[in-house]
Amino acid sequence: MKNVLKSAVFVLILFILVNIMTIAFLGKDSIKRFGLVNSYKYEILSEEDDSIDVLVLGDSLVYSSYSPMDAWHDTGITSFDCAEPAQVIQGAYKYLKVALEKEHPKIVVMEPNVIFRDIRKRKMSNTLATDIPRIIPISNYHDMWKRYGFDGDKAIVNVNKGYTSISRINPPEKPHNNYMRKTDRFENIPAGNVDYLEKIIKLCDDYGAKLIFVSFPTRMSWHGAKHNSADKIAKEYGIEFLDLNIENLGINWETETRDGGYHLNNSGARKVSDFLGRYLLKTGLVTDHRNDDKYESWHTAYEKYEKNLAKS
Amino acid sequence: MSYFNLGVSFAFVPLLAGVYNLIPKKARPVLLLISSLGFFFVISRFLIAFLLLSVVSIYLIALKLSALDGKRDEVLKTAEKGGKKEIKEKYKKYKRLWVALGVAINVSCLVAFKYLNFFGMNIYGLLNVFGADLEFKPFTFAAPIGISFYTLQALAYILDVYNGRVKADKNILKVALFLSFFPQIMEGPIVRYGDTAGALYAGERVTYRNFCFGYQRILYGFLKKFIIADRLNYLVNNVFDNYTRFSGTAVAIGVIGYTVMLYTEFSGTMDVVIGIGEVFGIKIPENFRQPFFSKNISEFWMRWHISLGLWFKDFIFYPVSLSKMGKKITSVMRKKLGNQYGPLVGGSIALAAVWFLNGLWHGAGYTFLFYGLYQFIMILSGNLFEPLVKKICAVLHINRENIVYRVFQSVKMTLLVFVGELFFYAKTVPQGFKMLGRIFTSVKFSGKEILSLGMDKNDYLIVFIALVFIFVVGILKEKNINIREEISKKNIAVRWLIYYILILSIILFGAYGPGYVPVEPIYADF
Repeated sequence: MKNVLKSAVFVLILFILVNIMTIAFLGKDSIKRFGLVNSYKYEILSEEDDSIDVLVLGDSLVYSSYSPMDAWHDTGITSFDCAEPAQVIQGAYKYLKVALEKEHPKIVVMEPNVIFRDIRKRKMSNTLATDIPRIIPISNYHDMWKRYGFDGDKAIVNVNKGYTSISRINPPEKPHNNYMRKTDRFENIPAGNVDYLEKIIKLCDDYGAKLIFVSFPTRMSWHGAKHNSADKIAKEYGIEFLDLNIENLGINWETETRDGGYHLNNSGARKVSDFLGRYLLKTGLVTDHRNDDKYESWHTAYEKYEKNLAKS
Repeated sequence: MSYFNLGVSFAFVPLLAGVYNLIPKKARPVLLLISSLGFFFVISRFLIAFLLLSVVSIYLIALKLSALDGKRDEVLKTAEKGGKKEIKEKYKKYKRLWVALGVAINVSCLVAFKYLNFFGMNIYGLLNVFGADLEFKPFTFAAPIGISFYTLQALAYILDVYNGRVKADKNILKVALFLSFFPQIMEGPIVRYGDTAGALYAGERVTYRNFCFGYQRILYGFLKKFIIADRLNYLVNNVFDNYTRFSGTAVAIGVIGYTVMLYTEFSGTMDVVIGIGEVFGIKIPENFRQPFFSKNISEFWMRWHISLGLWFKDFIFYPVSLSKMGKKITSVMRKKLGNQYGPLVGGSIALAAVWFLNGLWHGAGYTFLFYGLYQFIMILSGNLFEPLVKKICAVLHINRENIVYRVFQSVKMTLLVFVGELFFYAKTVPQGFKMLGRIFTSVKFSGKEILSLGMDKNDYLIVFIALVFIFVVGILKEKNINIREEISKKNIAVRWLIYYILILSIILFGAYGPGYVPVEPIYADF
């Protein structure tokens, strides 16, 4: 018992020290300015107020398929992946609510896969590795010590904007001939999810943001029946629906997936980001900020993003 | 999957340790076995069948060997004096047949998974030289994790039973646990039955002290891997992949970086492995003993991947050099070349066999075979020139135990190791030579170029500081100072301060997250 108590005290002191280290290396002002205390949970809070034009809600398909930095480089639009692993619609709504406290996006993109996920059956999909940044926020920003080292001009800036960069290639084991084959079937939408969709629609209306459904390319997690249901509900509520699974983006499933066709890798994501970036720009609701001084930090972020991408 | 996966080291192990303590002593080894097989299954799925085949084969063959020994002794009791030698020979022959069967079963699995493509490609290539027009289509199947390690362990068990070093175990669960114990299944060390089987099956409680000591060691491994190896990974691969674009200085940095990365990754893994063993009160033998303090390559191999070196020494070097043929060669050469160089010939033949197999064990490729050849030549030259060096030192009045001379020896040895590891990691042997040539022919120093390789000044500084730390720890170990015992004698404030510094350093200075690419477990591929 004595040893258990001792271990608990050890962990408690460690927790305090980690927090002291967070403050020491990031600076109080930085924490306040970038909302770092909560940003480990909702990464978007590390962005400057009112700087994001497009929020992208959804699950791993979002943070694996759409890189805001690539879209920025091509079109100058500012966007952010507000995505979580196996996000349910309730989570998407919560994330949107938190994001809207700081940002006033012109467009909210929602990956419709979340509509089909049953809130009640949500699995504990978060691994310890993905939870670590939540428990130890400094682990996300640990390189900040370099600010005090050589060439210490590193500004605190979120580089990936919610995107997860993975270059690994792992093609599907078997050919998936049924991918996006036309069907008359409709995927079931679990009870209660439509209520949350309505809440999201209302929230977007209240903040003057246009809601768009965008389904991201995946050979294993999307099919004709889901497309039909998403299309039906989109029409019902007057939501624009873009299914990138049926658009010709030129995805090569032999080289541009990281896990056998479930998610794209960096190469595939670049194609999606270019396409979607241009699509969003064409709506006329968002503008190119590349020559705007207010968005200088996005250029810094892109430099780092490019460097990191080259390494991965 | 890696032991550096936080889920494995900081969730699975403590959880297992907790459950282990809660269940009765007798059930603990069974829990360890189930966990180990589960661990294997998660990584290699149904290839676990090959591990089980290995377990069953060595278990049955060891029992058979033991039974033959028993039968022989029975027969000997009633045998006449003159016929005893013949009986012994007869049973030895039987035993050898059973050993051969065990070796064949286990080695054939290893060959099938690791060397089929290599041998196939070479045989087809050879046939094509003689006019055949054949195209070899490589097999694309994954090998069971750790097959190179557990196969050697399995063979050692059979051979140790054959040689009478250990008794055949009647408990198949004990044999299975010895072969599959999860911390060492992926990257060794290659332990012998007498080293761990007893402690593994004893089911002793996880004590607070063992738990703390184990995690101390695990943290040290994390420090090596996260702060150094992972930081160097991008730089090393950048240089090896694009060496033609870089100056000789940059190539040299990449080559040194690779050896440092290999050492910190592999020895760091061993720290974690030994640490996990320690948590459960199992003393897994050390696999590294400050290798860079060695005087020469020969000593280096007694301090680097020790368990592999010992395996080759016991099961290849001695059997070859002490075989009838080996002894004959030694005796003939002794007469021809004298007592100094004569015995070297027989020993060198055995050494050549060791390094050929050592190279092959690391992988099916010419770079690995060349790497083995290089080590062989270095050790052989060391043996051949030793008398001459001795004489020169005597003439020049150089004290070979002097610290300056010792440092000179270690630096020379380290440079030779860098060259060996360069060929080890190069994609082809010619690439290795080209890189080596570039180091000497394209000598120029550009700070800008060095900072463009993939590490900034801060990264270089952190690697340097961490290496100094490891160096100091190494010196203390060389002086037989047990640092961990010393720390445990300090009061709680000092002890905890040390642990906190270690943990916070890993969190802050570890090379993880965006911008870093972690090293995949290097030895798990061998």
